[in-house]
Amino acid sequence: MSTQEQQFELDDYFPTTAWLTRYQHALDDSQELEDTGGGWGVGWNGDFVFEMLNLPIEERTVGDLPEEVWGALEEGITQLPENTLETVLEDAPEDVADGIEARDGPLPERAAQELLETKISEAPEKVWPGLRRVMPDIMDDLLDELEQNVTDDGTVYAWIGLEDGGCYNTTTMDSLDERDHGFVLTGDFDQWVDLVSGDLDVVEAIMSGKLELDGDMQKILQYSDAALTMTDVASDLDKRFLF
Amino acid sequence: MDASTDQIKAGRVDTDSQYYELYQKSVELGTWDAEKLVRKVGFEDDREVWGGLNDNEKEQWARLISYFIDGEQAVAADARRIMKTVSSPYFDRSMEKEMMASALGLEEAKHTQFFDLYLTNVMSDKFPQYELDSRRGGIQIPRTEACGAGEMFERQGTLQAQAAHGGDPADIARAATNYHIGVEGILARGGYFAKNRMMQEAPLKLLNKGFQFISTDEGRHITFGLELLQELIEKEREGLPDYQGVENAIWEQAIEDIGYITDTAYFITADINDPLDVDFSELVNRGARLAGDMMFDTLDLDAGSATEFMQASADAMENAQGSDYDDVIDRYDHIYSQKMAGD
Ligand SMILES: [Fe+2]
Ligand SMILES: [Fe+2]
Repeated sequence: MSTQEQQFELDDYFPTTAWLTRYQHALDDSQELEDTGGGWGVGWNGDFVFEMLNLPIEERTVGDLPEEVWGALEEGITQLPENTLETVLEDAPEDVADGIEARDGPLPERAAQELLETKISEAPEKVWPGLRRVMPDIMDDLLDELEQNVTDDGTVYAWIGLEDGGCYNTTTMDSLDERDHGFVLTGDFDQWVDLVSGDLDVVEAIMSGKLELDGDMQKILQYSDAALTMTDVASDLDKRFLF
Repeated sequence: MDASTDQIKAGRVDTDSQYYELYQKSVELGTWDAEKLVRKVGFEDDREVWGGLNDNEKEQWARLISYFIDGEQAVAADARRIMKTVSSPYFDRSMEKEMMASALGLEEAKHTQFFDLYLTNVMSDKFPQYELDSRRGGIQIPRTEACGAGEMFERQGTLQAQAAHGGDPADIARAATNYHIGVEGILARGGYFAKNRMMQEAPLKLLNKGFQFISTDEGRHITFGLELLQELIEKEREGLPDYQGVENAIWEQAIEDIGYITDTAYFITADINDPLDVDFSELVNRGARLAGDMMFDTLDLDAGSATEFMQASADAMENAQGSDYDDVIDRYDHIYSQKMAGD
């Protein structure tokens, strides 16, 4: 089955809050974490922040998202009756309308092309309510996610509430200070992709500076098995990368 | 024509060798004079700062400096074995390596001399006992004996002896890993990190100056060791039978050594509530980065044993948390007194 025919839900995509919730449940269900993390964060703050830097929201366009996401958008637009499309486009922001105007070819193709070449960082403001209504749901949701959970400079702060071998909550934050935490694991998004794909050893990553760990190292060393379980659970969990 | 940049023709010495380059740098830059340095800067300012520290702050310095003086003496003593090891037939060439090893030997002697002068003239109130030659019937300073560093220096002697006396490539790799990665690359450089933090609160000027010269020298020694290891690794990767097991030996030794190093890191910080704010966590992070730079970036080792490396550090830390170091120091104080009394 090709990826285009396959259906994905929002919580399949990394990094989204929906995926993070799935990660929360996987951590909480993990017997290994229960065994190795007993006592973690009891009487002290064991909450983690995964700080993912430099998501390529300036470099990548809507058309660089996974194929099934933009494929559905393109298909949706080209299948609209021409006069419906014209009505939708009437409300388009000026620069989008100008962009479509400047292109050659039939209107549906021009409109689709203009949207696919929009930078991710600009997508939320360039997509207007009328278009959202005819857009595939998954794309609508993903644009919301990107708007709300990625900061303007391309950072995702994923907060993971950990205590006594379980994970009691997860969320994303706009800044590091938004919620209390005991530990921060920081790195470029590329390194995070390698890490949660299981292609990068977390200890190697910290030793070689690809990831930086901030927090009480006595606790980390004392619970080193639990710390490793945390990244193992993330890499065992299915995911599709947005970038 | 500028004579200094002009290549001078050489005969049997390979002046293109990276070992020659390191040797030549030592000849140029490693010529500082410990006696001249202490005369020029003087002890007065350091004595004043030292006198203003409370006992716990002095204890933190004493724990750090004791492993430096014993460590410098140990690496100086083992330099003669490195001279021998690098003449091993398992290396293609030895001459430039021997030249560099002789420079290393001189520099380690100078480092020992500097700490000896400093201890004697500034910190003697915290060191009633430190004069014995640990390899002439004496023991290391009680604080060194009490922590992982002391054990590591003893291990170093054994490994260097094995490498020097007809050791195979894996033996040589083990010895070089322990000496250049473990002792010089992590233990000493982690110590520089600690002293930088401690200097914020207690700026010991002369000590800092000495450390600057020493750390520059050590940079060359570490590069030397990594070059040696790279030569062995290359031959292993080429598939030469005698060299198989080199990478494995490096990992095994690094895993052993990180235990001694973690213990020492805990001993000089958390065990005494870290009065001069080194921060155990930052020290561990620093050590991890130093190790990672050498093992992954420079030597390009496979990351397969990284987890084991961390586990060894974790085990050592848990042991350290349960240790009564003061008690051990007291015991060695007693032994030291007996040795000094001559029995
Ligand atoms: Fe030295
Ligand atoms: Fe050295």
